[in-house]
Amino acid sequence: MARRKRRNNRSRSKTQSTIIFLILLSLTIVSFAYRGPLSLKISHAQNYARDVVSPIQRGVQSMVNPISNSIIGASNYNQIASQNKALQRQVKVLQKQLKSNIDAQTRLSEITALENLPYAQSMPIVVAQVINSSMSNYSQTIELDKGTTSGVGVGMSVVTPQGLVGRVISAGSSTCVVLLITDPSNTISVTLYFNNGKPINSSTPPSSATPTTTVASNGTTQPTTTQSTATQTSQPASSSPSSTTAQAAPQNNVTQIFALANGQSGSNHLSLSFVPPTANPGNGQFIFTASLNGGDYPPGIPVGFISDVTIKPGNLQGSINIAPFVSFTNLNYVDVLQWLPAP
Amino acid sequence: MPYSIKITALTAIVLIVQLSVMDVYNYNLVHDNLVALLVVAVAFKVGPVRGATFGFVAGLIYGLFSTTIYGTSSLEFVLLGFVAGRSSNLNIFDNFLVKSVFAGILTSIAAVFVVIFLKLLDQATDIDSATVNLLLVNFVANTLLYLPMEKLTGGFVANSNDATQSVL
Repeated sequence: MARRKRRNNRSRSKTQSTIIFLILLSLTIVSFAYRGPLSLKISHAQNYARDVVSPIQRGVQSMVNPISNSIIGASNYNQIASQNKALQRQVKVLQKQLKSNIDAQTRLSEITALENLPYAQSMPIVVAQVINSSMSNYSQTIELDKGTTSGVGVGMSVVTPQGLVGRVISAGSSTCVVLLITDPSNTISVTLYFNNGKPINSSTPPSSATPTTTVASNGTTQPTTTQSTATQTSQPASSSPSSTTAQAAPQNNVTQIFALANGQSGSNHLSLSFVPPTANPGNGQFIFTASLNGGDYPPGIPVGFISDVTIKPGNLQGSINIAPFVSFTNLNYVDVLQWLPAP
Repeated sequence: MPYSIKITALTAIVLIVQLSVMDVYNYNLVHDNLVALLVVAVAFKVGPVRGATFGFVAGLIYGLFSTTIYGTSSLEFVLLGFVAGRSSNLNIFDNFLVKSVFAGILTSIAAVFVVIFLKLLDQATDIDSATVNLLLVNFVANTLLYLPMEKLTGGFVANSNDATQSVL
């Protein structure tokens, strides 16, 4: 009994001394490593050990990463889903920005083109933005953001680089309403040009009908046209006057006939009337505003091209349709020509 | 195969897992210490003296890869091995759940002990939310991981006598 007790005591003291020894040894190592003479060598040893183990670490990580990613993905599903939604929102915002940038570029090019109208180079203009493209279900009108304070008045013509849009029918101080050429109540005096009886498909009027302007006492301009026999011919018309290829043509037998173009209800086309039976208008032939005194529009503005000619036997008048050059569905900016018809 | 080789292999594997997985995947920059859990599991098998000795050696090795002052891990694991080995004879540890929770508590207290020790050496910041995280992470993770760790050490360390020989 006493021997067992002595053995237990000896074992306990041995345990205690071992533990105390290990604790003291650990503290000694700590003291050497912490500001001691061995700190630098220990630091080198640690660096070496990390270098040795790092390839194994990387290998294990590459094996574990896919698994841990899927676990993290599953556990953070809600967070990832919300992040995904936030990113989708961001993408939408950026797409909108991109779209608006493209839109701004398009508008800039439109405005730049409006500053250089080929048929109204010397005519004062007011650039305006379309703020309402469908004001009424019963008349084809648009609203512009410029009014009398900007020099816009009733009766002034509204154009784009492509051609005639309409005329101002009412003007407030900061806005105005434009009646489109396709409205049935709008009647336009137009001119068709022929060379030796054949239709001329030209982007500019052959008779050089570009009006030389004189400023009237009320600040607006009055037309004075000059006649010329010089002409340009081109290939069959396309949908835009600017896309035709001009060619020099003989300066003889250029004739012009006058007619009236009217809008058609329920259609984007105009109809041509009062065309003499002897005239032989052809598809694709360009139509310009007439150079007659007293016309509602300045002469020489492209209106459209003949899209369809149907002459029934026995009828004096054929059915002639005009497709306008201007697309009225996506108008952004227009020019108001500060030109008023002669009283 | 001698048990010393087996337990060395086990320590190496746990160390690699610790350095590759546990140190990389953390919770609020706090990670679990699997080596401490290994020391507890081994000490439960081999008793206080061998447990403390194993803890000392494991601490020296782990200290090579740790950024804390070299020797701190040894001190931590010596105390951990001693307490775990000393508690192994208690009857309450026949219940495995109690044993797991005890391992979790022990390792988390050891982690906080290191924080306090380093604070005494002006090597740690104040005891703040990070310390609470350390406590919680070690407790939860080591409580959950104790079962597989004991199975592993049980496979290598067959019984107390063999384990004693292997550690020494």
